[in-house]
Amino acid sequence: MIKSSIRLIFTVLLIGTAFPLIARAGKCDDIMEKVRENRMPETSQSTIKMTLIGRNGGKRVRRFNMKLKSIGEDTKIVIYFEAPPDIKGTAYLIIQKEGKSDKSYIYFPNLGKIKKVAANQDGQRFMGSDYTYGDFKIAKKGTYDCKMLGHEKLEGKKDTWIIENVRAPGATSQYIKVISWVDKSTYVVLKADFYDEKRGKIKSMKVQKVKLIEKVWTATHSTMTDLIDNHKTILELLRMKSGLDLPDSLFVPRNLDKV
Amino acid sequence: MTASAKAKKFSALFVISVLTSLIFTGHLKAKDLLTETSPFFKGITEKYKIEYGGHAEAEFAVDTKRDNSEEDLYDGRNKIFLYLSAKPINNLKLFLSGKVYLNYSFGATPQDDSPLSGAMLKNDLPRLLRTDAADRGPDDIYQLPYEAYVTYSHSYFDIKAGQQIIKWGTNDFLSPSNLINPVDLRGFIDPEREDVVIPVLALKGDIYPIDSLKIEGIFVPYFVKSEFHLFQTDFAICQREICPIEEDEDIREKMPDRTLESSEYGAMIHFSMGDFDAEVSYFNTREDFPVFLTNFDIMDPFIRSFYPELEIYGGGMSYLFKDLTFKVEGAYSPERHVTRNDKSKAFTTVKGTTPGLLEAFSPWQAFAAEVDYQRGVKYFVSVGYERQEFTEAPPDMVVYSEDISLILVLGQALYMREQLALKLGLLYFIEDEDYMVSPRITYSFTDHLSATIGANTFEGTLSDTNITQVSPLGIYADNDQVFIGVRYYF
Repeated sequence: MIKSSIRLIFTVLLIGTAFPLIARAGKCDDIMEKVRENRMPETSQSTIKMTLIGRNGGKRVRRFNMKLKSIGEDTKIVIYFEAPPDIKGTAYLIIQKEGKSDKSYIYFPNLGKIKKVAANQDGQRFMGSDYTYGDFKIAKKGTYDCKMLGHEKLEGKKDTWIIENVRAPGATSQYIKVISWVDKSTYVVLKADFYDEKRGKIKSMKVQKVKLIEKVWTATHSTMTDLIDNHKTILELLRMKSGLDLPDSLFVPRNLDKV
Repeated sequence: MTASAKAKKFSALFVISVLTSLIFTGHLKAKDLLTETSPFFKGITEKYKIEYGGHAEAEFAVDTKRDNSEEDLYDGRNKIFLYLSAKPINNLKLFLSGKVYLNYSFGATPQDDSPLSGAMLKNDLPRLLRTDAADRGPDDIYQLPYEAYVTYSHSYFDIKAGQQIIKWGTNDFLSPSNLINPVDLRGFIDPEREDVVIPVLALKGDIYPIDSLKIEGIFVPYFVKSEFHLFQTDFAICQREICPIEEDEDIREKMPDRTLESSEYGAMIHFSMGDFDAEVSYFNTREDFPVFLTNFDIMDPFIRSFYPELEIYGGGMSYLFKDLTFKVEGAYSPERHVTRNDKSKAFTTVKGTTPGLLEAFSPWQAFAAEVDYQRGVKYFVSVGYERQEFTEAPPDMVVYSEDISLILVLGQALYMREQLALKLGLLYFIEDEDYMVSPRITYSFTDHLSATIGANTFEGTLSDTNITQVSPLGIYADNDQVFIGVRYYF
């Protein structure tokens, strides 16, 4: 009798502990959706400074202006380079449409020409930094399957969910896996580890500062470290405005030389 | 050159050297100085979206072989390029740029054949600032402004007016229908677009009935010729002793009148669908390079140079497939200038010594194809082929054939996170089997400072006695050069 009672209590306890795990799997999609929403206001304009730090400590600075407009699952991004002076005036346009392959265009002021760029450049380094062109895009829904790995208090202060995103079968992305530490209170990714198929963990990103900008928690200072090359890129958000009225004409290839 | 001009030139070189040193050592950051210390200036630049900058460059080249007793073996070019742009209102953009070259050459001392002998340097350094034709001194070019235009943009149209560069044609490098802007071939060492292309005063209008369709019209009121050296430099057209035009001959240039009758105009339609683009164009223009004919008058002999009119019908297509872009382009002119043999007249041209050549016109066509491979920004290779020929040409075609087939290969690879750039250019003329190879290595020390080392090598048929046996690049076969350059962006 006692043995059966203990067995019954144990079963209830086990089910009790199992349910939260099952519930968390569903919540993981909700969490990543909230993270996407944070990164994807309908319109925004931001100025970003990127500092590249080599293994010998040498620094190079890039500064660019980024305009974003999203309607539903479609997103358009224009990036205009303000520094360094040898690439100033170069502009890059990314058009992402649901169900269609991405379109990319680049304007070279020294050539005076706007060129189409192959869509599969996502894995290429962005201006020599530790970010890639794909890192500036918003991952489309269904690209990754997520799984909750647990919780962690980052640096003893911030409660985070640890979420593993694995590339879904048939999906296209530059990373086979991304593990993200998502702040429970702000839904900002405070840390992320990036994996590729051949080399395993290749990059790690950490956020140093988060700020409430126009009611949205935004990472304003982050560092991406290339673990293979021992190279770092510091990304600083200098200015940001969202909810702007950005005309569609800003996001057409022919206007890249007028940004 | 007068004493005051010499003094002015020396002062300019001195000021440039001092400024360059201050910038290199970090003592002068005028741009930051203005915006950080003057709130007014900062406010104005932000309000009107003013941007400015440019670069300073110094290049030095050494000819690896002396091919004549009066040749300068060392060439130097100092350049400053500046630009300013503003957007006083949302749809309006103003752009202004200018450039100055202060060039010099020396090394023509015949006593010692060694290019780097101390005696030669000691004897020639004082000649640096002399510009008399006999001394073969510096060749300075001032282009102020270079480009100067206003652009007004609307949802469905753009208008651009002023001195500008207009690029037509599908291809990037071998573009037979892109004949709007003339070219400057005087500075050879390591030319870039701003060194070669000459802006023209033009009015350009683009209409976009739908996003995938563009209709462009241009009007160029005044003709602008291409620039090149006829004599005195290693890359002059007449720099070999067999050239039939003597240096002191009377060359009378007939430029088109500056009237609307001499203006140039054209239109282009561009269509885009997914990864496919196509365009057709028409341009009524003049030859940028002159045609030379000897005047048949023994009492008043002179060489006439003029710029014949022609119409160009062009078209092209391109298709982007993964990392490859395939491009083709063609151009056709019903009447393009040639010279043909007519033994009844005693004309001669710079292209040959056969007597009795006469000007004539023949249909001309050109076809070019390019394939580009672009892997991000790291790797780029372009392979191109062009063929141009005169159809229905007179049977007694001038000895210097206008039928040309060539291959152009350009490549660039970036390493060390885009700090190191390796570049290679190869130009090969198929019929003449001559070629030019130009390797370069550029290293960026900082975001502002870079250095380049490179070479230009030429191989082809050359003869000291018979111009008919000289191929297009054979003229320069003894002018291989190595060079070094430093550039600072600000």
